[in-house]
Amino acid sequence: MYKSEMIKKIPQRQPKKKSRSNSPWMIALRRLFRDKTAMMGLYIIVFLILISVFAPIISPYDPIEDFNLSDAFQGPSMKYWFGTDWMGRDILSRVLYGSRISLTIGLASRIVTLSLGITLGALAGYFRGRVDMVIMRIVEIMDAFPNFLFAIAISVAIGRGLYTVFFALGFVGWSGMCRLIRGQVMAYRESEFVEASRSLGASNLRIIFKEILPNCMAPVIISTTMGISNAIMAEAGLSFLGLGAQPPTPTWGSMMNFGRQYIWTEPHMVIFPGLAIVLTVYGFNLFGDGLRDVLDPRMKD
Amino acid sequence: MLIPVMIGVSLVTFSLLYIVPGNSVEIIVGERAREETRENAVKELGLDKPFHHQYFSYMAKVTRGDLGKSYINNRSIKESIKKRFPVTFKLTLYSFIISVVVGIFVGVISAVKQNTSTDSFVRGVTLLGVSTPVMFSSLLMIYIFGVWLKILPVSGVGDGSIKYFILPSLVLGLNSAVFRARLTRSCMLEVIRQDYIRTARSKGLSEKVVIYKHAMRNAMIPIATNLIMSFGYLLTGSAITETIFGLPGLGSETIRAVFQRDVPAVMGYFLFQAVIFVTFNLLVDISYALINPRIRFN
Repeated sequence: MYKSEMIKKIPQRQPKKKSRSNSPWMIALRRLFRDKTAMMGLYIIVFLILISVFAPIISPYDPIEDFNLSDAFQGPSMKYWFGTDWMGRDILSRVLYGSRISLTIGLASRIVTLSLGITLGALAGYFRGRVDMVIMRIVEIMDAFPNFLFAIAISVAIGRGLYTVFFALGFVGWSGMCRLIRGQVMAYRESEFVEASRSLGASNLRIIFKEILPNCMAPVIISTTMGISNAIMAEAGLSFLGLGAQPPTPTWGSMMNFGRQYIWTEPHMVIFPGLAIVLTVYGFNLFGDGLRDVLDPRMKD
Repeated sequence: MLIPVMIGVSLVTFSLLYIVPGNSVEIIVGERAREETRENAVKELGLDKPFHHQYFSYMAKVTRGDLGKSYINNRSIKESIKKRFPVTFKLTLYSFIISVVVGIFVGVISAVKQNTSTDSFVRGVTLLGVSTPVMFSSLLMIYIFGVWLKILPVSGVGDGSIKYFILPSLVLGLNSAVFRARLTRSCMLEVIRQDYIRTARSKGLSEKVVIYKHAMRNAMIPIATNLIMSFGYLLTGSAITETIFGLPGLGSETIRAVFQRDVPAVMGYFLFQAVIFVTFNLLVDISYALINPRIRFN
């Protein structure tokens, strides 16, 4: 049989239509858009991002400047939808502005986590041996600290403030990411496509960044989404304790901390910032759950 | 494994406290103390020595079982751990019981009734619970039980009777229960899909036997190891709850020490909690081998 005949017998793959890309990422994205849970979460996240971006336009009062002591401790009313605090500041405006801190910390602390976690995890998983030993010992030490207490200690050590929180939370969370990446890299480093790339003379860096890491992205994305919600919770906890962004900057945690003293008579001072935290974290958790279902069918529950 | 980690923990904590802004001497002698008093205090505490010297002399004391004295109230750190740890332990124990009972029960129900309205209700509630910070639920509990219903004390331990622990344990316990319920559910679902469950069903066993004897047992492996870990988490993670409910436990005391830059106290508490944490990590590893004979211990 001639070669040309053989080719005819074997069904040749038709070139695909361009309109529907079939890369695994596009498939995942399409499934994501069909997933009701994930989309619900995404809507909440987008809603919150819009609020934090347009906070100056939509909030009825200035969160810091507009205090009016004669209006202090008012419950929700038409004038002040969420009521006022002990200085007569509008709680609605403060909650709206508070979303800026929460979202910024949630997203920004992930940058620290991701860069530390991915770099060290990839190094440990790829080079094994002594590098792995050293990095994993550091990770074990990090894991031996109760996370939240450690974040408190870092915040106190380098002084209170917004940047401190972002650094502390990023620094506390990286060990989990490092373990995750290390496991993934170790699983892929002996695989055939890495072998092929190596035999083509690719450098170690190229293999790590171009071959291995793109394959580990699904669990990284899932864990980052979940990490954002953890970071938002932790930020609220820190500012609840008086660390984090300092007053008069409105943060949900510090609003709850001040409201806590008046809980007997003015519960609205605690309830609204609290609900804001719940909504935000709920959004990220929903989205993370949906992402997990879409990206990682094995973990589907 | 324990010793290198402890050395690392002590080194990290010590360096963190070393860079704390503000001099710890000022905490002891006050900001307006005379130069002389200040110098004496510095000498007495050895704060004029270089970093490594301070660290080694501290560690030498620790290995002899001496954790030093608090800068603030001059009490022995060991004594305060002895006094405060039981409160934290009680709180942990009660919340652990709540968490195990509620978490596993809810998780199993949700898995058995997968894709029914019960299941989606449970999933919604647990996800909401996972998203609620402890301080918010604590304050809600205080408002509901302390202000509205006025049936439970909301602060302190009073005479140490159980009613003072109900609210804080409920908060911590339910917070941990929602995580456990989610874990239990996904572990059960994993098992229910297996072939041996189909076999058990097809040989005519009642659904009860299938679920509670065949499925539960196998799902228990990851759940049980998580139990141990979560006890460790609860033991070291009750700081905010203790602070809000005014419980004189180790968590609230640690926060106080950190804020007042009470260096020896912070060191002592951190080391103590790290020992607990690492021990529980070790227990998890051992329990893997004990519970699941398929994993060999090496």
